[in-house]
Amino acid sequence: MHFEGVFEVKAPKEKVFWILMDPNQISQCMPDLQNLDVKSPDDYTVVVRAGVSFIKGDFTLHFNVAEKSPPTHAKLNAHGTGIGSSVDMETTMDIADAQEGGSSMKWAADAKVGGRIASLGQRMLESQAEKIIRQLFDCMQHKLESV
Amino acid sequence: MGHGVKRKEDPRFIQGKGNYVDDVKLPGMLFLDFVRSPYAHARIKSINADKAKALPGVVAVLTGKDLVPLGLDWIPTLSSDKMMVLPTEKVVFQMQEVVGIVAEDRYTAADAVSLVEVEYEPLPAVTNPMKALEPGAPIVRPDKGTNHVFHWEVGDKAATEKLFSGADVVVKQELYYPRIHVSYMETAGCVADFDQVRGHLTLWMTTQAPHAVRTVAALVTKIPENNIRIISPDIGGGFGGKVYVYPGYIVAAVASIVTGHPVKWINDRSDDQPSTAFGRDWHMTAELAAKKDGTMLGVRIKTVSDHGAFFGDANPSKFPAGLFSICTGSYDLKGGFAEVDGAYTNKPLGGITYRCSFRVTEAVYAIERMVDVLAYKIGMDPTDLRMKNFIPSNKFPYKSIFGWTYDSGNYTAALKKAMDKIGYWDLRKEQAEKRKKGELMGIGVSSFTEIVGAGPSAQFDILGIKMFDSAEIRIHPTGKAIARFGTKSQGQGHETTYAQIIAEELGLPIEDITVEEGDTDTAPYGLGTYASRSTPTAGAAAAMASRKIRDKARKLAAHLLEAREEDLVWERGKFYVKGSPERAKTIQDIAFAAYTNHPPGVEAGLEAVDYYDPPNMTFPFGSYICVVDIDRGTGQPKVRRFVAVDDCGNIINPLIVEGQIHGALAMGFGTSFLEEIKYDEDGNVFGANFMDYLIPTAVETPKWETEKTTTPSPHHPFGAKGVGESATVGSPAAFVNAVVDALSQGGIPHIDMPLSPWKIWNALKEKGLAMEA
Repeated sequence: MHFEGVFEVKAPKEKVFWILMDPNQISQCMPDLQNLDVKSPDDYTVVVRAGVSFIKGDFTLHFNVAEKSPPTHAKLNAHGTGIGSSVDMETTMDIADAQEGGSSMKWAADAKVGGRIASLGQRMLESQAEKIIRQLFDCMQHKLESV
Repeated sequence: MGHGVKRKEDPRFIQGKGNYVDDVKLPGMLFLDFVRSPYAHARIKSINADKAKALPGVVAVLTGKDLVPLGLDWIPTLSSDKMMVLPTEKVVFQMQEVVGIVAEDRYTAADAVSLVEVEYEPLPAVTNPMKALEPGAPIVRPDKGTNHVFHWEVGDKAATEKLFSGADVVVKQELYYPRIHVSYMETAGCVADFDQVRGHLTLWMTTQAPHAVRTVAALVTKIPENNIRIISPDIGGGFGGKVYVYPGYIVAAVASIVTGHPVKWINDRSDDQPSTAFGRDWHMTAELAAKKDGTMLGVRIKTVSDHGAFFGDANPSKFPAGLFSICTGSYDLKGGFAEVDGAYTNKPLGGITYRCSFRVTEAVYAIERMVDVLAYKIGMDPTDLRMKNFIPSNKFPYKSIFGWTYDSGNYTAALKKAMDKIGYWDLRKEQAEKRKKGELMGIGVSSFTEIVGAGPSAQFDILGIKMFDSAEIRIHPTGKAIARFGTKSQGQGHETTYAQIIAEELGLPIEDITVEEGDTDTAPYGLGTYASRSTPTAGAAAAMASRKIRDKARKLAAHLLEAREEDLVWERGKFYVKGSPERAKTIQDIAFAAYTNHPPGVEAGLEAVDYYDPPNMTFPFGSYICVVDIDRGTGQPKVRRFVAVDDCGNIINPLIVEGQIHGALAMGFGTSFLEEIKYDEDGNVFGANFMDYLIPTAVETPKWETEKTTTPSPHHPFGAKGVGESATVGSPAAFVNAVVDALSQGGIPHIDMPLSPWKIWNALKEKGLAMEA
């Protein structure tokens, strides 16, 4: 599955980058966070409660930062398992100044989902993933504009 | 016999008083659940079950490594291959069992499953059997070193080539018979109870073949066979899917041995559907050669069959491609050649489930579909073409080019009856009118020949055990009886059918006969129920054992009547001295005497056992006609009428036979229009639940109009043939032929099953025939 989009926020790109790269911050925007284990800012594990259709449960995701050029570019890899399923995801983010002030982030994610979620939740998977992404950005927007 | 007696087993089923595996509850019983693989092909780097073990209520965790010392990490399949129980190195299909968790209740077991951390290294998967056979494809089974499972062929290749090159017309069509699941109401499951003091294992399990399982279990586990008891209680549908031994059975047994407690394992639906044996998945390229006038000359079929990661077909050892050589069908052909290459892929074990009758389903579909392709090509009506080429009724017993001896048949009569019933020629007129108006209506015919009742022991065995079957009848002093069989009903109504056979042979009332199956400690040895074999084999054994009892009853009657045996006349339920029917001794009188007044030189008791080894297979047949209307706006096919004329020889219970046909027609309908288990390139399975895998309900299922002709089997003790699978085998070609007939006016030569509205609409759209909004 491929997702991409542009995320605009009234905050300077340094701040956007800082939030994205801080496991303690970004993890708060993940759906139903159960646990966070930070080895380093570039290597951390989260446990989230997720589900598609009638399949729900805990999902363990290992994140590692593969590329980092503050404050404009980063690439984040995630590998996760849980609920009889697996996910491998590669996300790139490019942040630039927006014309009307603030910043704009172009992002793209390639996710490969396997196992029970892929097979059972096939029909809902894409829309569910989009929902989670939207929530994530809404949360970030809120954080960036209110902090 | 011949009466529609209501089924003896139904009162308990319709009142919810059946006794299924999940109804077995033992003191101290534990529950088994599995961690399953999210990957279709991956190396296992590590398994960490610490958190699961720490969960209160978890009793044991079993991995493949725990099974190695017992020699149970792999077990033999029914096709002389082997299959993994739990993996030690890599997983080979998605949803494969990886770790077994045993806990005090089902919920704790399920919770613990989610706490096990398995680290995988994904490997490239192969899910397309044609690609699997190409050089460089990922190897599913390193122990085999190749994805090629077997090559099988029948017929004379060179002669067939000659026949084809000299033919006026040759038609060719690729036909895919999709992979489907049996979707029985009751999923696979068991309760294993190992008695550590006696070293005795009792296994209640959903198996169609309890005795074969016991023997294989004894050979594999080294537990002496007398210390293994397999009990197959009531089964909620088997259809071939419960012939197999699944990892759950083995791990439950090991868990019971390890923990000293009984262990229950019941597959969830969403675990069962994607991990247990499947049916079909055959990619066929079929050709038919004929003269201009429609005389069919020969058939040629090349198949690639997909067996998943383990070759586990429940096939007789001599037949890796099952009985596909019945693919000459109902036709008198001059020659032919068929070949099958099997492939390993990253899917669960290959099977031949779903009332498939040892690959007869694929064979019948191929030939019946190809006859229609030929009819279309030469512009001949498909019924005329069939009538022209049928094996004439005076040529039976008929030796087919591939070596089968068809016992009896009258194909013309069956097709004629179906055509009369449905008003065939009027329908063709109606179709011509509708075509002028641009409406899509199709008529599809299938005149199938089945081959069932395996089988003669010279040819048929499963893992070396000959495919006879058995009956043991014991008459009690008061004239009541218990009869036990080596087969196992999964809903077929054996308790009634067998009782009727014995009632017919011995003159006992049906209600006086108790029929028991499925307990290996009490039932005589038999190979079980599948492939429509029970009536041809165990049913015949019931008749033969009854006749042995009658022979002994004659001795007892002679004693009671003070007459010579040869002066006695048998009339349903009694013996009398020739000329004086008023002086009769009933079977009940005789039974009583067998225990209270038996003559010197005659053993007490009245019982007999028979192991029936059929001299030949039986060849049931029939003709089905389907009328379908297709909506050009949505592609929705609607089956308007379906007439099924079946011939299964002499019928024991017409009510049960009709029920079998109705059920099997619904299955054929599901196969044709709704069902398919698909995989993507990564090996993700689609169709693993009833949201995505559609099976027909009463809403979708058309009304069936059934008729029969009766052509008895000359070699069966009472002229019967198997019928369980006839309609699943015979009907898909009728459905597909009807839909393609409707679409043929648009030049659409073929569509593969399942015939979904989307597929039909797209085919119409391509030809500019779809109505678009």
